[in-house]
Amino acid sequence: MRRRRTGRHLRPWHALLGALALLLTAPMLAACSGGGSATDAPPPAGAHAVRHLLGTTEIGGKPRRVVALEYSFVQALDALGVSPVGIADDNAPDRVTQLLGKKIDYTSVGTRLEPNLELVSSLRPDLIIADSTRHAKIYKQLSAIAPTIVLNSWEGSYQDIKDAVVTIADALGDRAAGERVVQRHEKVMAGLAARIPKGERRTFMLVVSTPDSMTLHTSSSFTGSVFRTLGLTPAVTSDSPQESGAGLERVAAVNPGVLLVAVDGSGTAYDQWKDTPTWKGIAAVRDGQVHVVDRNQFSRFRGLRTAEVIAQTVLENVYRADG
Amino acid sequence: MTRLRRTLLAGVILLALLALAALVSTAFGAVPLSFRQVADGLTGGPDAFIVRQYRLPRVLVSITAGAALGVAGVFLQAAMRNPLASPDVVGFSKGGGVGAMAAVIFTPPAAQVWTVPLGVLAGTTLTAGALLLITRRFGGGVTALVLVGAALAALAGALVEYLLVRRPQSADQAMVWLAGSVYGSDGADVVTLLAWLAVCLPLTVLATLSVDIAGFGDDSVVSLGRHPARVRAVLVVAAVLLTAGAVTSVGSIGFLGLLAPHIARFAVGSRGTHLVPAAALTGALVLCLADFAGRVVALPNEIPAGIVAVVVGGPYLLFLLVRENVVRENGKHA
Amino acid sequence: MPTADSPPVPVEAAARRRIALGPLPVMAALLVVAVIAAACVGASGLPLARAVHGLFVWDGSADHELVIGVRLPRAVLSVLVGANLAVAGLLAQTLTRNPLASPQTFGVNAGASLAIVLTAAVLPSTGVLGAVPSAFAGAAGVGAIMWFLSLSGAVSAVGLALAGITLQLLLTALVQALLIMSNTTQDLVFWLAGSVTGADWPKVAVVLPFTVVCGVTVLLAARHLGLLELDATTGASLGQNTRRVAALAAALVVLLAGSAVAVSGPIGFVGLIVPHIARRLPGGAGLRRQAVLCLVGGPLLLVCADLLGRVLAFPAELPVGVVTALLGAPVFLLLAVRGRGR
Repeated sequence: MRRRRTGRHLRPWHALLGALALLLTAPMLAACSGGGSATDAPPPAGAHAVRHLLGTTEIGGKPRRVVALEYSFVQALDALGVSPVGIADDNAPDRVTQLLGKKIDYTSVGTRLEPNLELVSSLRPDLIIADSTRHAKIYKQLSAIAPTIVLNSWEGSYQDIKDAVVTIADALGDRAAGERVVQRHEKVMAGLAARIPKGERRTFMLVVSTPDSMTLHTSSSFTGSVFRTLGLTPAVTSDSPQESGAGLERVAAVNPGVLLVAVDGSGTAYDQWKDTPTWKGIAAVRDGQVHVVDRNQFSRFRGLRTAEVIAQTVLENVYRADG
Repeated sequence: MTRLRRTLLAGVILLALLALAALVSTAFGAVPLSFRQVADGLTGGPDAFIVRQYRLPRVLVSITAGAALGVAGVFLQAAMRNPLASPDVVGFSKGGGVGAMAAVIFTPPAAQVWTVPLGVLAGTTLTAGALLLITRRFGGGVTALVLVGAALAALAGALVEYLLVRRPQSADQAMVWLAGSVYGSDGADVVTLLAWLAVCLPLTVLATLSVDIAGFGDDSVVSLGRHPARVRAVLVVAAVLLTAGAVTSVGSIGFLGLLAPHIARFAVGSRGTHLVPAAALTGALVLCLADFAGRVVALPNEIPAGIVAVVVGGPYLLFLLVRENVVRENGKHA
Repeated sequence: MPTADSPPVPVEAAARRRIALGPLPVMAALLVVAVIAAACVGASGLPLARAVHGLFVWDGSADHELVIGVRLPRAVLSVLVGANLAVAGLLAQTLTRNPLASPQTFGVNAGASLAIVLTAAVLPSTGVLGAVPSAFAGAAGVGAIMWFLSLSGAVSAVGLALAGITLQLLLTALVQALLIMSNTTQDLVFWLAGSVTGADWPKVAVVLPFTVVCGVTVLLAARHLGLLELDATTGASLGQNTRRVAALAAALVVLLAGSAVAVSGPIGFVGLIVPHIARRLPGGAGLRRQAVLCLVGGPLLLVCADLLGRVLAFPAELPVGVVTALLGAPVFLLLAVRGRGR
């Protein structure tokens, strides 16, 4: 093996060069023809500009074939009377039914994490709504399919979600409709808030129970900001929407007056902790104010309807008021 | 059959398979298209997005990134004189991953188009710089290189864990990134990656010519008039640059850098000038097929190519691991 | 490296005990202090006096329940897991005569986590007790592979370590794949880093028998296990069935590491670093003394790391596995370089 001489490498070297050259030039040519001419179609007449998190998009007319890449956008579209043609639903159609409270016809375009752009394109949409955390990287490609607006859903507060409804309405060509929907929703929320007894001094917190710890949702989370809108006080005040990896002692130290526990199934930290004396010492537990809630509604969906569902749930469970 | 003819034959077969894989990946996907529609899509028309901006860039990026990782693997294995060295094992791809994650966490989404590549480059370069510097302080020997590489990989892994915990909200994105995915590649990615590799080409050629020399004992290298540590440095630097390019476009798929050289060595033997092109073709083929499989096996969901590669290639690697140790050690004693 | 080697002929018992003790009393005292500190520090910012009161006065008050029901099990679990991992690392290093061996670098931890994540994906509601058998299965599988590798010839130390690291990377990638496919990454990030946040007495009860039984076995069989450090022929000439002793050592590694991962996730670097430090300490010659030092040193490291994790990110916390990794990786680097220098 080691008796080879370097001189004998000369001939195979040609083969190497040939292969490398072929490997490099062929795709280069194809890429230039593919990438170079990839420009968006010129905006149609009567287009209007919609500002969003990644810039301004020209949208023509009133788009009706809309693809939504996050759950909260589906709720916003539904409130505006548009049924999306495609949804990135994580392959869980039941969640969409739960999200809207009704069954709708749509095509799944795969996961929210990596939506299938082939399917998006084959739906021939005239508007795509994407999330700023998860889809910023594919914004260019989405824009090549159809006008795309990018909004904050994944980490959005209640205010972000309300603003998103107006922006989506704007993109659909009827900004006023969005403002009407938000106003109507605010009236509903005000009505619900009015049924909460005055002088509520307890603090409220939503936690998501994971296999060995809990994730606390703070004042800047969606649920936290819904609590504030209802005149309630979130138990943890923070700029970051979530605090992950919290142990039992941390939850006990926060000592919320009302505790909503979101679980996906059994075998989580909640099951381990609920019989311990420390858990039983938490104010919410002593007052019988621990409520197990649905994780989809409270932590995954984030929309106007979800805000109303949260308010209703609080009224029913905490104040024993019918919805 | 002479070695050269065997290599050429293997090269032709690999090239044919690669062409076939590229063709199939362009022609098939979530949306069924006829060959006519695909051909039309190449030039424009209603399916232009699917063919020209979705499938084709992915095929090209997977081919080029796979080739780069395969070659980087050969260089590292030569530099460390160990068939188990790979960009993953010595922490290059993880170092790049740390840089990318830091960029994702600490810079705004709009700026990430350029902060992520910078982060990757910074991460891999720092890891490699530390590797070479620390190794040199200990004489630049092979054992030091392997040990320091493993330790740096552990350090990068620790930082990845820290960043994941700091920001669990983007943990699933980070996970996809760490596993490696060709998803979301566009024409610009193809051009950037090719341009980067073109810049690396001279060094790649130089390193290719050093692969065989690095296989000799240090004394033999000296007797050939070359400096052993310098030969290794050329190989390591070339591997870093190739890995950085690949990691920027497809995430930290280090695994491929381990797998491709092994398959290539099986086909053409271990001479550098034969092995490097064969490993490039193998890496390209594996990643292209992995991405294709990931696109179509769980429709409409996408499975990251890195995961497909691990699930399919993992058992094979395990087999190699056992065999490699047995054969190598027996060879040593023989 | 200068070591306080034990004399080949038996000496007076008292003198031997003095050498054997070495820094042990100091470490044991530090461990007691660390455990008490761990019981007195926490997210709720309980004043020290009340925490101490809660620790020693069993009056059923909220303070008492918090200290005894939440903080103490966490400290005790850290002690047990730290002891398990350190001893497992020591045995792995002795068994393979490889200074880079540890449950982590040999992929045993990763094998156990893969099995646990797999079980969680297939049977979601099993909880911690379901995790124990799967953790053992995973640890044993990887243990078997490394066993085969280490027996397949005189594999060089570096070669074996690389094989282990490769195996670990492979298994970690499979864990990532499962997490992405089952959409549970966010929920498991902390556990996967290695964390004792969810500690409670039931978890302590799960791991305690393994620590006690395996620990006692190691101490009793130390004379035989220690012969693994010599090469096989020397061992055989001393009348030992090295194969059987090696199998015992491998089984102990799997049991110790598997039970630790089942309750706390794959905490890294403890099993790698503590045995090295133990060997460098005065009185660190001979496997039994090293094992004793590991049984104290591992817990000491883990309890302190957990304390640090809780203080650094107060009132949130860093998982202990992240702290040990950030502390341990540079030490690993140092060991790699130093080992090279020798």
